[in-house]
Amino acid sequence: MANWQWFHKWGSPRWFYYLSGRLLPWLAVPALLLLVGGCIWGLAFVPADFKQGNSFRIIYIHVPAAAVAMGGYMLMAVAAAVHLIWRMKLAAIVMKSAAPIGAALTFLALFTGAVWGKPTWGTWWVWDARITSVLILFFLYLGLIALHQAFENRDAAARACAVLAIVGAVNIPIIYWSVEWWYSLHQPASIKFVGESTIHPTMLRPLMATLSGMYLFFGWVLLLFVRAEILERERNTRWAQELLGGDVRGG
Amino acid sequence: MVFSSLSELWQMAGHGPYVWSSFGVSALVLAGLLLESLRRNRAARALVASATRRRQAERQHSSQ
Repeated sequence: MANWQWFHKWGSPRWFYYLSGRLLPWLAVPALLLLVGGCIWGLAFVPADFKQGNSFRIIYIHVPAAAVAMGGYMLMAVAAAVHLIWRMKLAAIVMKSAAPIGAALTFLALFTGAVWGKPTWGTWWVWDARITSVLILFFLYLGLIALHQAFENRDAAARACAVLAIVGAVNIPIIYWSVEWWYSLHQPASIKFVGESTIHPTMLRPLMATLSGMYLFFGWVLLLFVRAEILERERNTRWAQELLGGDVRGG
Repeated sequence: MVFSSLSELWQMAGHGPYVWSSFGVSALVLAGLLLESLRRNRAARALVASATRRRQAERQHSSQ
């Protein structure tokens, strides 16, 4: 049973609040450095693409936003499954907290994609497989937020959202392979898990910076939302009141 | 820098409006997310504080 101890510890809101507090600066500082540094690098210190010109620089925000929007959805779906199977309350909090962040990042992926499409394809929008499936991802995130708010009872809301999150996960592989399966204006992935990447290292390095920065940013903001939700729910417990004792005396 | 001046960086040979609006809107949305999460934390700490005061008041009331 000793192996399961970490699971119960991290699953306890009190422990999570304590440990996540120590983790915050380790996410915040590299997230800001990588995002800001990678953007400056990609905007001003990388040569323009020989086909697309300077518009290709949008890649440094578009790809990280889209990748983390999808990765965030998978995290949310895993949290949903953990909540349904083990009834872990913290997993329900993680699931609920990931939705608004994912929605914002999906919006950014769609917005920057449209702005990139205009000078590159000559149109803001096409109903092709990649773009449509990302639009569905956006609606899934919004649907989860709306569904959660529609319930009076918190546990019923979490169960309904968990089912929707798991079913919606089917969309993620569709987004990923949409550019291979269907004819599409959208270019195929330049960074591949298998085989040679089709992007020059000079252009790739700043992308790696903003991509990892975006993942860290997601983790940072997710922890902040989770911590707020934990405190709201645990406000009548002794540990929360003792932890924030200083604030009480202050007024 | 691959641009010879700041105004060239701003114009990006005609792609400036696309590139800068993408990065500008992204900065606004990410900053908004971060500020909202910090605001939620402040609000939650205030909730804990008022729950603590209520408990202390009840304790004092019952001991009198």
